[in-house]
Amino acid sequence: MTQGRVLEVAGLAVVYQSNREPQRAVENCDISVGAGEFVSIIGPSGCGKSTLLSVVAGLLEATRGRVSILGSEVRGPRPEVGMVFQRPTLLPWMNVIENVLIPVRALGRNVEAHRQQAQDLLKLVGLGTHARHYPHELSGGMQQRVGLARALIHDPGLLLMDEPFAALDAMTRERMSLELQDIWMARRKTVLFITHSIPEAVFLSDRIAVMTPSPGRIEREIAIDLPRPRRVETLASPAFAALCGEIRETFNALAGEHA
Amino acid sequence: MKDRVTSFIFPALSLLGLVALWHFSIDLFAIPDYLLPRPSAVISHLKTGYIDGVFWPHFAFTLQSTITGYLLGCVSAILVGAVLAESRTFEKCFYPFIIALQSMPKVALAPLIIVWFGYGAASKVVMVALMCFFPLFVNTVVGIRQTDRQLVSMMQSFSAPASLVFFRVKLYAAAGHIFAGLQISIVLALIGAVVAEFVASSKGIGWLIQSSLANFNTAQMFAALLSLVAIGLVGTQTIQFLHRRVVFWEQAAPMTALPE
Ligand SMILES: Nc1ncnc2c1ncn2[C@@H]1O[C@H](COP(=O)(O)OP(=O)(O)O)[C@@H](O)[C@H]1O
Ligand SMILES: [Mg+2]
Repeated sequence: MTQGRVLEVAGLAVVYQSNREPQRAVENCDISVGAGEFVSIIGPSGCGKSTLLSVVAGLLEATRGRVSILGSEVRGPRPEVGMVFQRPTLLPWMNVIENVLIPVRALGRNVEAHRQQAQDLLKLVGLGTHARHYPHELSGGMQQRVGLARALIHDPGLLLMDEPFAALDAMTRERMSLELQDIWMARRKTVLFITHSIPEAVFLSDRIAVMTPSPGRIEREIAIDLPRPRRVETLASPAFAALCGEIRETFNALAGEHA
Repeated sequence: MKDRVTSFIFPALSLLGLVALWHFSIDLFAIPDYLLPRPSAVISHLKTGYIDGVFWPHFAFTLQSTITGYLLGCVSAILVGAVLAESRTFEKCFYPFIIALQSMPKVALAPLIIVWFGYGAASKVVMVALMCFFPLFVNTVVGIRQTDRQLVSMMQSFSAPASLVFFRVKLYAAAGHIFAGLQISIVLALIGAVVAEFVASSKGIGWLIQSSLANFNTAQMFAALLSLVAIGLVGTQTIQFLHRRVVFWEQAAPMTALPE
């Protein structure tokens, strides 16, 4: 195995045993992510992206194949992983800072010792003055930022993000992408990011893996070598447009094959 | 502010109208006292009852057995409900019996409970507890089971142990259902207390109503009924107040993703 790989997925298959016929959600899926790398997975909805991420997060058992994080096989949820969900999934009865501290509590670490760090993270995601607010007092974008701060509080080596901006409006979404890039550059996390937005993937990633329709597997990987930090102007550059075009073509060709 | 005033004044006015209608129709239709007492007679019974004090021992007896039975029934309903919602084995062992017991009209058990627990307060407490138990038990189980699965997998993704998921997520998620059950149980608790007193007692508001029947003292019956209304009203209002206070996040705006 290659040195310095944070995540390694080899020959992964997941079959859901439902009441009807078994559902093959992911098949023959391989992907690996190196330390500090930002990798996006893009694919049509229902192709098995969330399923893949659940297996990596240790929430779902693989039917076949191997998943390892930092060289050791995944057998359940791991403290080295921080997850951001499509919905904010905050606990409505806890205020913002308590929500951010959930992983600390869950891992049985000292909550008081992490309070200052939680406050710093809230400042990093632009919610420094909202620590005592409750989730229902925040907008969707703000809630999602709390979710991001929560995923970072226990300083995980691997950040998993499942379409974290999909429920937001276009403007907020663009701003969140910029902020995420800043946070990623500041903290140098390894990120596995799932999206179905091509521009979002191109803007954020070092590498994009394109998934086939269900049962999903990684069909092609494309390196994105746009210089960092990428800015709003990057979105309008010809290089950006060319990369988007290339990925769209791959995407459509795959959809056509499977149609 | 204006809403506050009218929501007090309007019911007060209609109550006054109703009492006036009651008062005058007695003379108008020549209704005998034993069928419908005069409002003034009811008020004078309330006065001898609560100012001269002859009702107080009865009121205290019923209130005490209702509150004790309510607490006993509700605490055990929440405990048993929580264990049953969390443990499939426990559910398989006991759920059929609980359902069978639930479909039985509990008031039919009153004579048996008197036999087992005697004529005193103990039988009233047990009857009240039995009445309170089922609706709250069912609500607790349903409340815990309907916890948003995404919240649970979020907790699990951060390696949360099951105890943390239960105490920090499921119990709170069930709070709205539990309070709804507490609300229903207040009324059932009063029914339980009164029924047990009807069957066998030497005290209590239920006993007062029954002994009024012996000499057709309907005015005293009315005064006793009003006492029950007062207990029920204070009880339900208290629970409603606590519900709003404790489950503050459910009255607030729904947790959907809003644009900024
Ligand atoms: N719990 C489940 N039981 C059965 N089938 C499921 C379950 N979850 C997802 N699936 C199926 O697996 C496939 C992949 O789902 P998912 O991973 O959620 O896709 P994506 O996140 O890419 O939209 C879909 O066809 C879906 O219907
Ligand atoms: Mg998904």
